[in-house]
Amino acid sequence: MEAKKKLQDFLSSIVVFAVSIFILVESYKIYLKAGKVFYLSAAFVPVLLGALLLVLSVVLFLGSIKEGGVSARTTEFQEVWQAMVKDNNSLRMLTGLIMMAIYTFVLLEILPFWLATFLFMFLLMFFLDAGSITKILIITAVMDGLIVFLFQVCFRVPLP
Amino acid sequence: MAITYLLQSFGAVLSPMNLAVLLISTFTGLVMGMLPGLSATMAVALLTGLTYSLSPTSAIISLIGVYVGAISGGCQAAILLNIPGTPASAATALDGFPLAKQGKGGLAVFLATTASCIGTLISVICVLAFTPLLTKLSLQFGSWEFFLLSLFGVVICGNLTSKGNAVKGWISGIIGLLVAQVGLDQVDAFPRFAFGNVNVMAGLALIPIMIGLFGFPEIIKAFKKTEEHVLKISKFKVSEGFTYIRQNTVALIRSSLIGVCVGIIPGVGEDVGGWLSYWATKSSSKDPEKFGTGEMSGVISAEAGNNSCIGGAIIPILSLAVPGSAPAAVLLAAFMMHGYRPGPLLMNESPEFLYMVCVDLFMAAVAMWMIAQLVAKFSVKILGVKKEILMPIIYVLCIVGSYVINHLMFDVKVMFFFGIVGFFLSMMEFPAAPFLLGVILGSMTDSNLRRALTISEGSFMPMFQRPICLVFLVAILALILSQFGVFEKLKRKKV
Amino acid sequence: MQKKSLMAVVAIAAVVVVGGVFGSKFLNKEDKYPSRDINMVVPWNPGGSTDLTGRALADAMGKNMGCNIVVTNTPGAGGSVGALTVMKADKDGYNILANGMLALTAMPVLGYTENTHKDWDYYLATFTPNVLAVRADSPYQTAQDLLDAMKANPGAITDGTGGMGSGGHLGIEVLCAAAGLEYKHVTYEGGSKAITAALAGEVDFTSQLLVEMQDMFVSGDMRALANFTADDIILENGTVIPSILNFVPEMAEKLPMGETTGIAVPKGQPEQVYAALDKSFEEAVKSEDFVNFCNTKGFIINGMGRADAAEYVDKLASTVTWILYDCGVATKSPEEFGIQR
Repeated sequence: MEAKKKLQDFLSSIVVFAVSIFILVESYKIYLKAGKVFYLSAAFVPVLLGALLLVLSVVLFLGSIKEGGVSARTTEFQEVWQAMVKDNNSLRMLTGLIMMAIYTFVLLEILPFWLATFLFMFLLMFFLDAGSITKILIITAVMDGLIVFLFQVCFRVPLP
Repeated sequence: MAITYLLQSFGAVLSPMNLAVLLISTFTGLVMGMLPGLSATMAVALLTGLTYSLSPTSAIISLIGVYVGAISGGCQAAILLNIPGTPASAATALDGFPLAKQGKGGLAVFLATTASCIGTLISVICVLAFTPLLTKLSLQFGSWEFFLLSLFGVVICGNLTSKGNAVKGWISGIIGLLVAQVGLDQVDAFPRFAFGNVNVMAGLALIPIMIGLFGFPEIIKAFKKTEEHVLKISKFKVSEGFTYIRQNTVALIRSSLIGVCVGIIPGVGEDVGGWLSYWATKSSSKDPEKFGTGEMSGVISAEAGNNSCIGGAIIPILSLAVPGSAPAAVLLAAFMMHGYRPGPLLMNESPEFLYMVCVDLFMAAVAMWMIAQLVAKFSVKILGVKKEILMPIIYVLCIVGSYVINHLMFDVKVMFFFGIVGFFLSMMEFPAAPFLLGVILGSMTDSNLRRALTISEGSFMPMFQRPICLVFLVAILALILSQFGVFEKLKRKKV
Repeated sequence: MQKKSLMAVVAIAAVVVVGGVFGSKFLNKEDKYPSRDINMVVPWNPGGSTDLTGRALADAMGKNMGCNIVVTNTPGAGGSVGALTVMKADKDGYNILANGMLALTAMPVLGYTENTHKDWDYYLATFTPNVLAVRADSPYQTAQDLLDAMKANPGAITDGTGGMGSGGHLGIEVLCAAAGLEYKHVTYEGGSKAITAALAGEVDFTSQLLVEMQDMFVSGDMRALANFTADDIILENGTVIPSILNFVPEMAEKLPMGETTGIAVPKGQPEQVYAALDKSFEEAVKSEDFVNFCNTKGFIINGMGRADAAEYVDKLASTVTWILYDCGVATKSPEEFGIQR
């Protein structure tokens, strides 16, 4: 699994590198705007951290290209990507994620909590093939009710 | 005099009404600690409101009960689901979850709760015996010390969790620290990385980040269609559990003491306590590589460490009216609401208060242990539930947990965003725990460094002149160098 | 098999949605205020003067209104994080802010927020003055010692305060403006942290509020050098805190300086909310629990309902914002917000 590890490091170090550049640029803007002396500025710690991040990402990158260099990694990446795209699991994960996103960003805004939650749990469990429809229905209804009861009645906290 | 107070307090707690209060509140605390999203701070806060109308004695009993319960309860979710119920249990998940995967979930929970109980008990002894001494220690911590402490915490966490390549752990930690910088800064209120969004300016709340970071990877992984059979939880013998505890007595005591010291330091609480104790045990163990794969002593140390912080956090409350950790802060406010005056006058005004708190802690620890055993019988079954049913429910709880803190949908969106981040972190095998610790310690790092520099006019010299700082500096350096095999090379040279 | 069950699922979902939407419209009658818990935001760390007053009021008013007022601490940036949270929330009376008026009025000119004190309705409860304090083994025995030291070393003596715009910060700015002194400002996250720092010796003194330090004075851990009212204050054990006027008579017209704490709601609440709050507040500040609380902690009760409070805060805002602007701390001029001198 060493190869997989190297690939992970390769990809992630590039991402981290980009992030650190972003941080450094933004922090510099803050430094200019804040106008205070550098070591007291709000930008001080972000700059330090951003710089550290830069260094570490380079270390990681160097470690990841140790066997085969950049070309080897890129080939591996393409292979992995192809495999992933075709994999059924990836599709399921993505769909599940999208359902979660819809629940969070759309359903909860337009429907009352218990309704949105009921829909979400029901549909997701169905999608995941959690059991027969009746079983899912019962579990969803019970859990939904339990959660609402527990939080709104017992703990007296408002729900989304 | 002390004996009288102690007896009085025991008498008070053992009254039927108060016993009921104790049991109910400890149970509530356990449940709230277990649910990812409800933290100990919240649990204590919620109960402060609910118990206001009770007599001060009963109210204090309930608050301490829920505090102990919540900090202990987090271990169950951490072990069984790999989602810490409260930030304090993040270290427990490291060895707890692998144990659960091996079918030893029940045993792990038993060890965790027993360690929690013992840790709390040891901290009670410290409170009784050492309050004045330990208070002096907490006052020694100035801005430089806090800064270095937070760095130390992140470095340790990085070392501990990255299975050999600490660089990834540190990257994770640094990004966490950076995330904590988002928002209005603590010193000047200058908006950082806010991009004009008012919600972001208020900073990113910790609990949603924790839930997203740890919860999403587990939830999303559950979407895969796997043939994995549901794990059987093997029954374990209680005596076997106690044997493990006895074998780890040294680790237990050490972790508890570490936890108490961490608790005393204002602002660092149960989460750091768990990590430091875990690290201490791992460093002094004969086979450190086993940590992270299901090492019992890891679970024991982390849980003893985070629970003993409770006593530690209460010490500065009693003597200085300064809370040692976040839930302790709510406790302090509750104490004041009920008419007590924690602080230097406490022993003059209401000397029995100290003993009452200690007795309450003691009883809560015992009650927690008993109730936890009962609860564990049910919670362990959760692992037996099919993932497909469990995960949607857990996700709903995640949403609720994120919302309930500030009643803002924004926090829920934060959770979602960091969930994606957490997912990628786990795919690329970056440890999430240093990230979380970075978020917790980030503002402490920032404001203390700048404050220290303000006082010293930009000079870093004081950092090298203060004894506690030097200890930290050496420790941090040693930790970093050890990752690069410097020590092994030196050893080889000698041989 | 798949098609059939999928259709069943869709059918069920449809029924649930329709039924749910209609059902909830039917059942949603939230007429009575308060029908659920009220969230009180305290924009400071727990244990400080604002937090304690807020909790005492929450308790008294909650009992009165028959609901739970839950206190959440949302500290940060001189109280503006919490204030913004309440400002952004729905104006339905379920989110109220407990704050110190010094901090709240200073926010716009310190650049924290766009809205000003005029955007809130107030209920004021307590007052506590600033006090100059040092730890017990500090070299400064009297206020004169401290002031002399500040004169001899401009900008070197450190003052720990609870943050930019906190009670401690504003008090010291007024003092320095009147006496022509300079100090070095070291900010902490809240009054209690600043006091701990002064106790530990990290800063030379602190200018925070009496109520936060009273116990320390009585126990002897800290020494009070001067208070920011026109009279000497005598504590329960006989300790005398001389008035600052003994040392800096020029401050007479600015006194009393200290923090007035109370509750604020953003303007534009429904009428029934105001009616409920008005009534319960009036009774809360007279309630026995609250009075006891104030006496024990050392607060001076200064209860004002909406009308009186508006005038008071207006005057205070003018003083505070112009002080900050004149001494150069404020980044924006009060004129931008229409605040007169």
